[in-house]
Amino acid sequence: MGSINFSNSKGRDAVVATRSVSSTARMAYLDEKGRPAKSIRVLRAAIENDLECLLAKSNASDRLTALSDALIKGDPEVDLERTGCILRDTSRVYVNPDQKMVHGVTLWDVLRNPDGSQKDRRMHKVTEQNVATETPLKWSGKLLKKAEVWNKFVFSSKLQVVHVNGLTYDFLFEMAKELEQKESLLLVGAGPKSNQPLVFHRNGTQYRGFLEGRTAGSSYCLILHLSNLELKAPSKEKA
Amino acid sequence: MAKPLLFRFGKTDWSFQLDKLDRDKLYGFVETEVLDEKDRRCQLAILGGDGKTLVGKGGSALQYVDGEGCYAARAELKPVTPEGQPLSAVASSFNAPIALNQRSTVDEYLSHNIKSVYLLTPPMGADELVSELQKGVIYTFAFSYRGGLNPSVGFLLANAEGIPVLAVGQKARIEFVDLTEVADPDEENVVEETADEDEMDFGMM
Repeated sequence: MGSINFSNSKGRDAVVATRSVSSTARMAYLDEKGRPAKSIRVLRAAIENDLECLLAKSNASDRLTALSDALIKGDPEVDLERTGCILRDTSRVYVNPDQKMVHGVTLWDVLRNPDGSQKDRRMHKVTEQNVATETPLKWSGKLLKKAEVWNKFVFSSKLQVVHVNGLTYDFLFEMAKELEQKESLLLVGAGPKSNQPLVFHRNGTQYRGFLEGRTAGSSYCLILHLSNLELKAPSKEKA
Repeated sequence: MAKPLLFRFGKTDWSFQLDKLDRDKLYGFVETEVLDEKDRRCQLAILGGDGKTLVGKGGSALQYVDGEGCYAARAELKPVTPEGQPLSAVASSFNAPIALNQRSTVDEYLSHNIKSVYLLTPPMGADELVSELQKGVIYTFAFSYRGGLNPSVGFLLANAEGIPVLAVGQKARIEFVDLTEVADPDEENVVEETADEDEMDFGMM
């Protein structure tokens, strides 16, 4: 369960819960005897048996030809001790051009235009989560009619906002009812002007948030639609 | 040229060309460059559980094992639901025309997580269908790009510019809650990440 610090239109705020609503494909595989099968990751070749390392080991003037001969005569690309072993408890690391693990790296962001040309280059920026901080997300007041906005953005992810106690039930129910009556989605953003994208965890994808409310009797449904893509054609200069 | 998608509107089949829409085409993209202390480019690799086996790109593979831990080809395994009911594969949606006989509402469309979007180029003469879409009609159907066990939900609609669009996604598990249904603190919360972690276009709005 995640959390989000919200304000309503009356300036009241509360920390409430967010719930994932993604439906994952639920299926399993059975073997011929009806027993569950499972997927595992196995080693094909360690980095020492990769093309670059094998080429680097050769002293011949034509390394590719020498490696081709070696592959015909033997199996330098296979490590009989390790090939096929199950990979568990793995970690992601960086290796340098010498195929050695490195511990001290610097990260740079290269910004590219749609045509691939470089626009800018700068030190990598870490984005921190901004939805469950001490400062609540302000009620932006920017209401977008559902009938006008549903086909302007691609809503790739959603979270359902739910209460954690009786007080927050009233808080969220009223919010859902207000949005339902106005038939609108509320633009949700971070920052003092509510125009910064939402980030749910450190270095996570940045999204624009659109809050929708639905009610049915004493039940409510508050959905935070998340989008980072407009539903429009690329301009001809950019594509 | 990519294979077109056929839609059956009334008694006529219409062939649409697809063009996938993604953030790279609209906003550009960000590449992360990793440099060591000598300013040389580094690559990602996997370090095995033994602390010394390094695995580069393409150095590992997924495979299935049976109940005894022996290798099992996927073709020999039976796909089932969690309840044990057999699942059967559906054909690719490109194999036959998709009948447009079921409409959706905006609320129903908004109850889905949309994972892929394709801009459609209509053929000559499909004005009636395009006009319907531009009036706000949404058609829905089962969709599977390559065929498989878990078809997605497809929506044929027009964007705000009037361009026909195919949106493909999965239904979200949205439920109404009342006072007694307080959030479960142990429930897993997942915000889906896109594959690339691009800079958000602040000019989007």
